[in-house]
Amino acid sequence: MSAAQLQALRAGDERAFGLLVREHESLLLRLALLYAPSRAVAEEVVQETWIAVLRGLDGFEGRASLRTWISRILINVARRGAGREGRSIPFSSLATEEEDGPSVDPDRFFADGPYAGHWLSFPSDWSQLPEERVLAKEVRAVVDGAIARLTPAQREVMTLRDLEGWSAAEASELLGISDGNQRVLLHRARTKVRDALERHFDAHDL
Amino acid sequence: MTELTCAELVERITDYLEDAMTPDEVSRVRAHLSTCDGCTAHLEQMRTALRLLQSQPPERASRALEDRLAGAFHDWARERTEP
Repeated sequence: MSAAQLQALRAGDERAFGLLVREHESLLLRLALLYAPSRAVAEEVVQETWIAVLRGLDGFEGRASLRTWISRILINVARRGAGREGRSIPFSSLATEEEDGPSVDPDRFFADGPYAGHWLSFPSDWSQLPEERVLAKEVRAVVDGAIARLTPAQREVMTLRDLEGWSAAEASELLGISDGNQRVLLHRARTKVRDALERHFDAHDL
Repeated sequence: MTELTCAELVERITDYLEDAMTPDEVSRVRAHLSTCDGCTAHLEQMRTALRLLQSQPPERASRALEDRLAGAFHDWARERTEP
């Protein structure tokens, strides 16, 4: 959103608000769905967020990007809502790395001998798959299923980085984690999505 | 330059894709990939996963939420203009 649009919004321009809502629709819903127990609650969180954004608009100084500022408001709204309902919600800034050890199953590699640490059998070649198979609806569902099984901290990072296209720096800043920690979480998340896709393609296509 | 094993390389693949490696580390990864079909396939799989993630359809608000937001905006705009 440009400075001119922000100006229009502050002046009460409904079209500017509509544009801003549309621009952040997916991001805010995805974030809210991370913290809310249901879609209905997530939509309430989004609604409360926008009310807080409008009320706080005059105080927005542009030090953070607009989407970082709005996302921060959403996280606070979600946290307060969870507190009221006596739920606890996980945040990556509070999460220590939940998983130790390698992200890729060590059984995929020779344990010892001259080939120690090398593939027992190679991962399959997905470039053989027709593009329409890779992008099929059921593959989309496999990806969604894998994301749903990630740890909360991994989901937060993957949502911002891969689903919403944020930079590493912006995601780390919002989540209050180091760049390195962000990358560890992203690596585990992406590896798990790859694993799920491998199970799917190897069972159905290769 | 010590050689990376496949098990080591797959744990560095995100650092590689994220440009979070020293030039020396990048050289070691590329040297390994140039002779290892297994790790090359694994890297391509990670890229496919990433391409899928980046093109997942966006979340859409329900019609009811859109209406509630429009209502919230009108309330706010009215509050602002009323002294």
